[in-house]
Amino acid sequence: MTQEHSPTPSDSPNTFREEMPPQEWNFDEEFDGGEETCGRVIINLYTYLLPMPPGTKVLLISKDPAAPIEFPAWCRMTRNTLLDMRPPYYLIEYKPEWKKEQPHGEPILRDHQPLPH
Amino acid sequence: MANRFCVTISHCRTDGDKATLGFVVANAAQGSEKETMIFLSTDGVYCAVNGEAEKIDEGAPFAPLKELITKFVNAGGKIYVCTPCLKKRGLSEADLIEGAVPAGGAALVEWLSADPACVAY
Repeated sequence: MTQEHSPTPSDSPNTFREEMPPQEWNFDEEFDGGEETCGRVIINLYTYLLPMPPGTKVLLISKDPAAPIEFPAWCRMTRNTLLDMRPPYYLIEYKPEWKKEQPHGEPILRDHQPLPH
Repeated sequence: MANRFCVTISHCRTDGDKATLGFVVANAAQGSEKETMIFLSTDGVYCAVNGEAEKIDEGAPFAPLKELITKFVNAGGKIYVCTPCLKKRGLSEADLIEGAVPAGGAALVEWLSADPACVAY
């Protein structure tokens, strides 16, 4: 579902920019990585997104100081589209290339082969 | 860009910091959709020995080693464990956690020969 963000009466213009994602951003889901860094936030993000239908727009929130470098690199490697970024907010489209393969918006789950024993 | 990645880890009891960071980077690789293999050798084999990872917790901002290993395996990551390194320590496949597989140099060489990058801890 698309979430709406409206400033409350107590928000000043400055705190609004810091505490809320840009009003013009539309997204379906939200992932808050908090202050987690490096592989921890990446593996959590990866597993969170796995069941999402292609084309899902996701708001990422991260206070990791490396996030402005990390998320663009991750999007390039995984072929997700980074639509916009205004740290600590990042707007991505999940697997846009898969939309043609899955026109009905079905999620594509990666094939997790059991390890040999 | 290669779709495979390798992390070799040669510490556990000797240096929990390095063991932890190795798994953090492996999680970053697996989470970036690289088919990722961790190769545990020398003291690093203890990372995959039942009951050993629970002893390693470097504290914030790092997660406990056991949690990092579980996330890596659940995300589809592979853990290979050096067979002679196990034998030298009186260990066997029966001592390993689920998801860890005994392997030798040929498995490592084949993996690296497919052109992935490798980082060592």
